[in-house]
Amino acid sequence: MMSLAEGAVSHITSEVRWRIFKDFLQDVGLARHHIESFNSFVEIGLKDIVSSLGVIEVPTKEPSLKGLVIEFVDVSIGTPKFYEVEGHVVDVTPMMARLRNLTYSVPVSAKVVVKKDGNVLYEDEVPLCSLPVMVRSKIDPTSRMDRKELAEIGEDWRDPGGYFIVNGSERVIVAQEDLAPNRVFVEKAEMGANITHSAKMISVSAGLRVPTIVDRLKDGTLVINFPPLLAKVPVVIVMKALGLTTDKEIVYAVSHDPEIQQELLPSLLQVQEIRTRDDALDYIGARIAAGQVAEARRKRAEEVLDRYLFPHIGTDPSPSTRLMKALYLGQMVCKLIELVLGRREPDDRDHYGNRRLRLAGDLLAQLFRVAFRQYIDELRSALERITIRSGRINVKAFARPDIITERIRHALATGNWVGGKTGVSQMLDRTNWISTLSHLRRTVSPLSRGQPHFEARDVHGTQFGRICIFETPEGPNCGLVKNLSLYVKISSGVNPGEIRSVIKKLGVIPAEEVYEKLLNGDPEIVENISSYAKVFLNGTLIGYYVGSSETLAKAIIHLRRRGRLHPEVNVKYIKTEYVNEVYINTDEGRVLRPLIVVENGKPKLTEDIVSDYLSGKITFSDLVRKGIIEFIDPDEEENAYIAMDTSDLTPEHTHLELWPPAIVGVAAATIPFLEHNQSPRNTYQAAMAKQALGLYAANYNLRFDSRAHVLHYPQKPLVQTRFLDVIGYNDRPAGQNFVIAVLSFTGYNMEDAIILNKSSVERGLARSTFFREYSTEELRYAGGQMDKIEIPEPSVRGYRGRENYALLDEDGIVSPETKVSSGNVLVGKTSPPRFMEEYKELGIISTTRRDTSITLRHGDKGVVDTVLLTVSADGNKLVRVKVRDLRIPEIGDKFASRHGQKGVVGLLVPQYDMPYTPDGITPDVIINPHALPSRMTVGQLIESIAGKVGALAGRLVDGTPFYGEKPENLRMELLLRGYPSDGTEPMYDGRTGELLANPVFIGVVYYQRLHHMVADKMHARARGPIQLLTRQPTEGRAREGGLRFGEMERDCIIGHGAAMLLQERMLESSDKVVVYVCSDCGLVGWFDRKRNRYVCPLHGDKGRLSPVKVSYAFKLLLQELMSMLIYPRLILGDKYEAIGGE
Amino acid sequence: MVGIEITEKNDTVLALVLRDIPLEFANAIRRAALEEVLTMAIDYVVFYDNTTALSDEIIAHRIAMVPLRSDLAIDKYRRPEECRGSNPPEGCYVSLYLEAETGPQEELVIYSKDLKPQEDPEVVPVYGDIPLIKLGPQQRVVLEAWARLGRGREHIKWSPATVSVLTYIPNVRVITERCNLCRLCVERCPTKAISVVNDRIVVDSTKCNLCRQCVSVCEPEAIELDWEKDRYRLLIESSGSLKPERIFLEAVLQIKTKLLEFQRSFKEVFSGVGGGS
Ligand code: SF4
Ligand code: SF4
Repeated sequence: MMSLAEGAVSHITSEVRWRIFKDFLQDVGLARHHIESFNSFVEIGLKDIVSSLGVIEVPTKEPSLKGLVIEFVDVSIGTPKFYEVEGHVVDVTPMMARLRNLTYSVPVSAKVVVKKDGNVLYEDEVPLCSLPVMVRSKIDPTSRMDRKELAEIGEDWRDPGGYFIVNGSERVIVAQEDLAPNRVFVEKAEMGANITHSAKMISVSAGLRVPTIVDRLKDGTLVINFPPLLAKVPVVIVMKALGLTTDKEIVYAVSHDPEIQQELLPSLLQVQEIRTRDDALDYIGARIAAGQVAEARRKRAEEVLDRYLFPHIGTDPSPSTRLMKALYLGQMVCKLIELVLGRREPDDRDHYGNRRLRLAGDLLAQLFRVAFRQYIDELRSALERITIRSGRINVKAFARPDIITERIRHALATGNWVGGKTGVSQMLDRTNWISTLSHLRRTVSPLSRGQPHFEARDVHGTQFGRICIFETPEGPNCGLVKNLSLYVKISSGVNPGEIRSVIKKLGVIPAEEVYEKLLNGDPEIVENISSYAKVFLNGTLIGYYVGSSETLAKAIIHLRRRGRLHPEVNVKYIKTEYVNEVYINTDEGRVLRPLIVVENGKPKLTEDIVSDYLSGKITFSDLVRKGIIEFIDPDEEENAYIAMDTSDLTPEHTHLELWPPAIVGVAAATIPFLEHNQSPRNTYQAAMAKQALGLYAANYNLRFDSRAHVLHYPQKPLVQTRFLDVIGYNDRPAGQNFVIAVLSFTGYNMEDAIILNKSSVERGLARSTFFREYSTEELRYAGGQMDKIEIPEPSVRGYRGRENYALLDEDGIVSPETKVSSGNVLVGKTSPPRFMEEYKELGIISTTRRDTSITLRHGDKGVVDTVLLTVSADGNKLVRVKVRDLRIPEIGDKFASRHGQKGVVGLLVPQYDMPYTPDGITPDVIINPHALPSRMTVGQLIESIAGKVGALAGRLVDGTPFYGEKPENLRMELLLRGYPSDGTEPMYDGRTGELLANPVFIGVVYYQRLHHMVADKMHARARGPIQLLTRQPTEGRAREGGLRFGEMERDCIIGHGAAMLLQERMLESSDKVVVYVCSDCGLVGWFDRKRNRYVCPLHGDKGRLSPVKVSYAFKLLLQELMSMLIYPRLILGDKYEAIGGE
Repeated sequence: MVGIEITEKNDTVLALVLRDIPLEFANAIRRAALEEVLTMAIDYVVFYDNTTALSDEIIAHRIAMVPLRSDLAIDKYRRPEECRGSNPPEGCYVSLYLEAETGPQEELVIYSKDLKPQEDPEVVPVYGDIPLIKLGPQQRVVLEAWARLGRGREHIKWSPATVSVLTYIPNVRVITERCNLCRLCVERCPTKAISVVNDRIVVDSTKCNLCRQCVSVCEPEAIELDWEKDRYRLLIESSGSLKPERIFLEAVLQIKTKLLEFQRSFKEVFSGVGGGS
């Protein structure tokens, strides 16, 4: 079918496509979805919520003031400010907030008017809250700063923003994946249940989420359920309660098709005795408000239907809204019956078109709504408590802005959102640049990770180009935590009103009108309705189109391409024998991707446009505006036929991929020649890219991260992918180009270990610095007591010994560039005694203060890098100390290439022992050949050759997936430069000078040093601290703990019959204790010092007590049993008799 | 008899052909050039002030990597064995001094030439244009760097040779009877050692580096690789601290010293036993 002339598309080279895609990526930005979402919340959402909920009818008994209303009309947002404890206000920058543990927030106030009968009596600005600012959003002044200005306030100009700073820590609101709201999904029920089929939907409106289910039971009747209803209610009854009283009305609300109508018969027959609307309301009322009078029951039923049934359609009690709800329910039933009749397939919930991403703005809006409601309620009840005499109410005096502030701050700081979601906000991962970006582009599915959910975890075809197919964690979160592809743009939502008027002009008849005419038997409608296409807008049937669904969909797409509709409007049509439907989507959170439009087999990206584009005459947004490139959601993609490449184009094609490599996410974008690897290896690398050390932020010297690593000499990879420049990896790299030989050598590289060149390490290879932060605050306590930062006197409780305080200056803080080791005090601090009151009661007024100094963690060492003295948000003295430690690679440190090949250092070999090539090149790393065949990371081999070419030619090699330089060409170039084309070279053994029998594969591969280091992990103990409660050794390196001798180890010793060894391990070296047990009562006694003898709790002096060696934990068990009123008796016998027998 | 032939010699590179010398001995020289030869390098840095973006450790490491002129120093200063301990004797260490400061708005790159010798003007960086530190506005660094003699075995900064390579001298034979003149070997040879002359494959063994490419492509197994016995090429590339020929000589000298020491202790052992010749 190669009917196309080659020339027609020859101008769309891969260069051109990359240029366009690159501009798109730079335009959209990597954290832009968060920022845009937050912007729209601040600009529109906030105001909408405030004005829709901010109405208070002033409670007053004064008749002249009846009808007095307080209205919140407008919102104004200030600039980032902080209110010091002393009272003055200062401007804050993000860095200031990070350093002083402040919240980077802006004051938000509302314009409030007091009205009576529409006349404004009084106007005031009332503070609403202090709203955390998303860094680099519209209300953040740093979004308008240039590179130099940013540097001056200590910001990294490359920082993508998209996170909040709450109490000094950076928090991201992770995109939450959710089922698309307001859409009906039909499915077959599981076998065996009483239900055959069901239709489900979640109605979402204004922060309210009502899941609604219509089930078809075995007997053919239909029932509905949604939360306020405590039990299932027949659908027909709900229809009647909504005002459709006759069977005809009900039946036509579902369908005009007799076959479908037939299916309703059982439902209609079932509720024959309920005739009127009142009967129906009564029936519902009896279930939700049982025991009340009939009138109240009906009222309650009406209320529930108005407020909780399909609230997205409306919550007002007008008959027209109720009719619309009935029609929506009718459609739900219709879809269900179509499934029953086999006219349509069950819906696929994992289809990405049925998923929406809820971003920062959306989630904040939800939170703000709840908080604002509380604010209003609080305001109302405050007004109730006073007597109002005039319209001049000083609203400001009663407003409690801290309600909203605290609520938002708390949710952001803990991640606990309204609606019971946890982990919504997370601490921004600052391990390296990629980990930060990837964290900002992460999505989380709410499905529980305990259950398998295989389908939900699988890659779905519709995720192509939307979700990175490689980047997902292994283990319980696999497939639930996902990352966005580079292609992605997330829809921010278009007002559906715009599209309504447009489609009306296209000849769509409103659904209510059709229903009306159908009931009245309008001949034209009755005659033709079966050929009409149903038109759904965001899941709700809004009308019928006279004609085929395809025609309407094409017309809408045409209008969008002409710029008459918003580019985010997407449309899908279904045309089968029975189904003729158009779905129009305008809602937010859809995952869109850009494609080049193709018409009649020819891309609309013509030669002229390309040349205009390349010369800069038109920009990316012009291409979108002209309909040359359009954004497609997964629904619309169902109707598209997309060519991967220009050479694949046929007249049937509707689109051309813009830049296929962009189907990967930021982490996988680091992998060169990715298409040559076995896919799980790419997944491993996507995970490891986030653990590599590098330059995580250019302002690392100013920052106080709780732990951070910085690589001394990060390098750009010699083998690039084109994305690296755009995502900023080349400016903030995380790795170095190593010379790698594939060789067994000494054998110290077996099982994935690597041999490092000791001399390379001495020259600075993979060196890094580790920073850890220690901080303390001078807290104030009730009763005027406070902490004091000082050198503690030897008399304080918990004094650590003079030598540990030796490094402190007279202000009680270490000075920079001091060498410190485990146990050294960094900040000396004393606190007032605990339990002051109790001491007083006992008559001992203790004045000894406690030592609460900050010491270097156990096992750490280093040099004090920076000391920061400042004032915290509460006005207390805050001391932060940053300790750095030089980390030279050593045996046991972890390294990885970009192809999922990780390994730890097994041996360091000096240069003169290393094998060398005739040129005198010694490898930096020797990896074992066994690492390659089973893993099939061919990409690494190609990278090795490409890296060698790059090093020889002094250029960067392009390894972009699918579009990189061809391995054949690279090999040819290698040959031309005087090296064997297969990447091997003859090598000599450095120890003997002998030529190795076979040539060795050697090249340059980009290696990452991962943050798992021996220095942080190695640990041993002979004796040390024990736990207070059980007297067993503590656990964990930080507590100088012992190494667990576990169950399996115990079994092993038992198996060997080494009883004495077992006792030594489990008892002598652990929690041995000698207790005195009374042989009469079997209870544990004690030693009475006054009388100098052992005493039994029951028999007192007369007890016959014998020493017994037990584990202290066992003694505890006995006491715990006693506390439960169980009498545990130990029956004693003679040790030797027992063994001797008889 | 042992013979040496110089094939290349300039300020930084020395290429030799060693004749009639066993591999073990030749390789000992190669290794000694890297690990045994004494050179000067900075071993200890005292910071008086450092407000730059780089931490002390990084600066110290960078300075230590700077090659220092060592040709005179080798004989002048004490050997590392004599300089151990916290209180080394006179004649171990020599210091260099660095001081730099920037005003507001000023940026400055500090090069190795800014390391000023204090006592001995002969111990200076070989190359003056190695960038060491970049100062931003209003930053200052003052330091004193102490250099001493050392060996590459201790730390590679004391290695005078960056490259020290011993290679075989190939001897490629083409068995003309087996050759079918497919010319694959000509194509694949990276060093262009193989050519076709008068419909015969001719190999220039001096260009060959034993990469085995020709052997692996030659289907009739017409090429045989071999190398000359007890003849080796030695290539030494200097970091600049010593002339390459000096490195070679010192390497040989170091081996000799070691052997003499060995001889002495051997004698001691024997005289202790009461034997001896
Ligand atoms: S590859 Fe072998 S057979 Fe072919 S030309 Fe070379 S020597 Fe002859
Ligand atoms: S071994 Fe390599 S360099 Fe030598 S002749 Fe054969 S292909 Fe050429």
